[in-house]
Amino acid sequence: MNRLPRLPGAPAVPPRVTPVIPRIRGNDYSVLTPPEIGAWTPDMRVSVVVPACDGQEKLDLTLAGLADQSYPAELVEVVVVGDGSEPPVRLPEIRHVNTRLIVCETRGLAGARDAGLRAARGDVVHWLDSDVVLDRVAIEAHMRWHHLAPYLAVTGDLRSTAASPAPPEVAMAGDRAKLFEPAEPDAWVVDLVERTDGLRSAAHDAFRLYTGESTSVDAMLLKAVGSADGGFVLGLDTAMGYRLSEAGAVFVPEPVATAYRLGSSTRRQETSGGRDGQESVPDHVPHHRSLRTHPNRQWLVPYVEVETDVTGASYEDVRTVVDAVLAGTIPDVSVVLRGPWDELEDERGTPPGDLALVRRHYAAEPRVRLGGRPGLAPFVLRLPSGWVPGEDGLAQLTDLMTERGLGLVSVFLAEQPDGIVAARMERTAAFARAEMLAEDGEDLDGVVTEIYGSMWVDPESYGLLPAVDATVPDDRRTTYRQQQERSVLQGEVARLTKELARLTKEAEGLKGKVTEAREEAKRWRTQAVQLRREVGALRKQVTALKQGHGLTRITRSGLRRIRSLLRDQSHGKQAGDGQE
Amino acid sequence: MISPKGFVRAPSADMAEARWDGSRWVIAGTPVPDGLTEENVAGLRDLRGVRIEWPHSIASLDVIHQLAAAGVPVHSAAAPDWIDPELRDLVTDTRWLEPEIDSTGASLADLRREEHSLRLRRHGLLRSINTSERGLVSVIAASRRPALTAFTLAQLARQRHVDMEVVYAAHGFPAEVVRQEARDFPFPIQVVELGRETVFGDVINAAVERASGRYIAKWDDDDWYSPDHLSDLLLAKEYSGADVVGMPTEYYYLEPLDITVRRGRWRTEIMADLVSGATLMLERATFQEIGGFQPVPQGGDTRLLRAVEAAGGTIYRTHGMGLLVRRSATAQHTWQPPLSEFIRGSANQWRGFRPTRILEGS
Repeated sequence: MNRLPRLPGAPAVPPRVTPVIPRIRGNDYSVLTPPEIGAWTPDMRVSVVVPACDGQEKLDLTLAGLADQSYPAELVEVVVVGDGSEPPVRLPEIRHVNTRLIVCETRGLAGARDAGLRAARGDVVHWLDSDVVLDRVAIEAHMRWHHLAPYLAVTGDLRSTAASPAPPEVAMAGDRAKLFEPAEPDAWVVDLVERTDGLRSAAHDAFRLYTGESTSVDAMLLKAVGSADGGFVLGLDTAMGYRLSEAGAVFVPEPVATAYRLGSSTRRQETSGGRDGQESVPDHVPHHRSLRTHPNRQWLVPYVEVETDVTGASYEDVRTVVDAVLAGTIPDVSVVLRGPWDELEDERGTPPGDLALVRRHYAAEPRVRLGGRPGLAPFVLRLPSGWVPGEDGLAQLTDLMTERGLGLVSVFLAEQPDGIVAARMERTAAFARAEMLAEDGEDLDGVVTEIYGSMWVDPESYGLLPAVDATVPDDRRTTYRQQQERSVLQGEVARLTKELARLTKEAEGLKGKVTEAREEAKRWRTQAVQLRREVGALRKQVTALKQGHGLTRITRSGLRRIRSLLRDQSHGKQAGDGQE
Repeated sequence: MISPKGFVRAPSADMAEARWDGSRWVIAGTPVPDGLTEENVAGLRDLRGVRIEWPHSIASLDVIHQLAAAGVPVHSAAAPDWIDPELRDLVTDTRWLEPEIDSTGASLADLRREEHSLRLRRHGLLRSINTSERGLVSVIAASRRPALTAFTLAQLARQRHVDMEVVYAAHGFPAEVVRQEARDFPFPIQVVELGRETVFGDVINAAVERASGRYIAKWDDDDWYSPDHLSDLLLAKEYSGADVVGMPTEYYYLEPLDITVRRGRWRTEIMADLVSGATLMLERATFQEIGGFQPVPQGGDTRLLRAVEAAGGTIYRTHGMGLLVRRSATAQHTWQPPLSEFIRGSANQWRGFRPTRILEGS
């Protein structure tokens, strides 16, 4: 097709860069096409880190499984981490040629993984538990993905088996399925993967696949997040997966990389409802909103961090902004106040300035930090000085972003001669990935739009107001009492509504009765008229009889009938009168 | 007459099939031996499109041309070489079938489908029209901003399939500015100079007085127009028979935010009471009959529409894909609607300047 002449008067558009690193939107890794097994030439090194926690017997099998991998031996190192317990871990005969043993002094999985990570020299780190045996092509299957993009976490197809072959059998078997099948995958993994088209459509759930049992991660990415707090988080799969996702990782399930787990799954209980391990998950994973339903308690990682610059702002305005944020419907929020805190000196004798007042006022509030940068929260709101989000504003913005999978929402606030005033809600994972992907001089917002999407919204719909127009949030007790009062009033309203319905019904019933009575009266009147006529006729008859002939024919019973008819007539008349 | 009237912008049904059964076309299961009726077309409106199964030997193309003129989105993976190359390119064009999203992740399927429909309509309708006999269009461009003259003339210069002249009203600045910029302008152009104090309505009337075309078309100095803008309006005038034709304003470039938005889901290809003032087209005779523009500084477009209706005339709203309205920074103007009004409820948003393909001319 012919190239069209440029639309006249179109604003200059920055030239489209050809990205060096492929750009994956959300977790949809379909843009990557891994090569077929055996049909490519790798050049990246992998460190397989095996924390030896599960006994020598199983470790021997795990290491035998690494002995004859299809991935080139010179590109593989195996780091076995013993935890110093007795009897000490030893390396068996059957193992990969580049296997070494290191000993870590701290006990436990987290410490062992941390030590292994420090020792690892590969471009990729492959976590492998000491009770998991890999298929022959598993390492290659993992590595074919890592050659395509440097921000992947690839998880193998973990299957639990009851088989326990001898190490030589494992090393020599061409097809390890014959040794280990039948084996069962974890039902929740199968469900997650099927439900999300192999995690392609898993917006925020993808990280749940991450498991230290057999997952390979780009080493740079892993080191950037794994050792952040002395490796503690390395022992908690859900938390580690979450951190990786916040750092921009994409999670890929690799069905060819079969990994046989010896015995049944126990460690995965943290995501499947067990108690052990579960207790810390809500602290680390703010995304699981269902685990944080408490109205006001605090957690390690906030859901939203609000950053605002207070340089030159008045103490009162800062309070309005900060207090509104802290009183909003998202309790796990924190505030970062940027300002020249270092220049602030305690000048005795002089009245304190606005900033000094702010510092003193929030000194004891753990959710407010003076200076520093937003850290781990999945969403960061950058708020221009003097603007206040509505009570439910942050929640509305995060809802919009999760519903649409957006990486950035800009809230238009004001148009001024020197430019636009806007608030920005940023998704941490999107900006972290964009940092990795952006070419020199490329605008991060543009990259975020490409990999997550971005949107402008108006301030009214999200309740953002200038500080002068904002109202001070009520204290908890006032709100509670208002709620109580409201529910009492609601109860009263409900009662009265019911009463009204009852009375209406009753009135309707009475109306029916009136109609009925009227009909009856009408009937009686008709009958009375008829009877009067009849009585008249009978009287005539009686008169005629009295006057002469056939008196004997009037019987007693005849007279009784007449009397009773006359009685009826007078009753009927009365009833009719009474009802009218 | 088979025309795009009643086009449905957001269809709910899937694709149907058109095939030649040896002697006649069968469209979505209905044989149409004598060509399509308006009723047939109405029955196809809710379809996403119609996939054509071409016969191996030459068949009548009348029905296919009718489908095109109606704007029914037709497609086939391949087309035989016995149909004309332009039609072949149109029916095998796959751009409208490729999944595409805007910056917010919203699907653009309906927009791309409508663009495809428009290209087909033009093809189907223009075949039977001699473009040199469509009647002269006098474009009335009134501007208070000499800085925009070059921009305005550049939009006008790329108009195609139309016989046109321009009457440019320099409202409060020297006519010479326009004459200088118009040295290489490819169409006849007259420049009227009017004092700053003249009210807008009178500026338009003064310009129309110089016009000699059968039609007059209003033109905004700062908006982007597709090269087929006037041609599309003429087509709408011809198939609708309405006294005034125009387009809705749907696309805005918000310069201060550097985003393009699509607002409002107008019904188009329909008799209506509202069209954008930047797109009004009517016969000059009609304009004169209703007494021209009222001498008011603002709201003259709406008054014109009401006057046409009061005189028993009709208004038709065609598609709005070829118009992009500019919302510049406030400092340059006296008053403009706040930016939040353009953002709120926008159906689509794009980062940067993102005209429709129709506006780009493809």
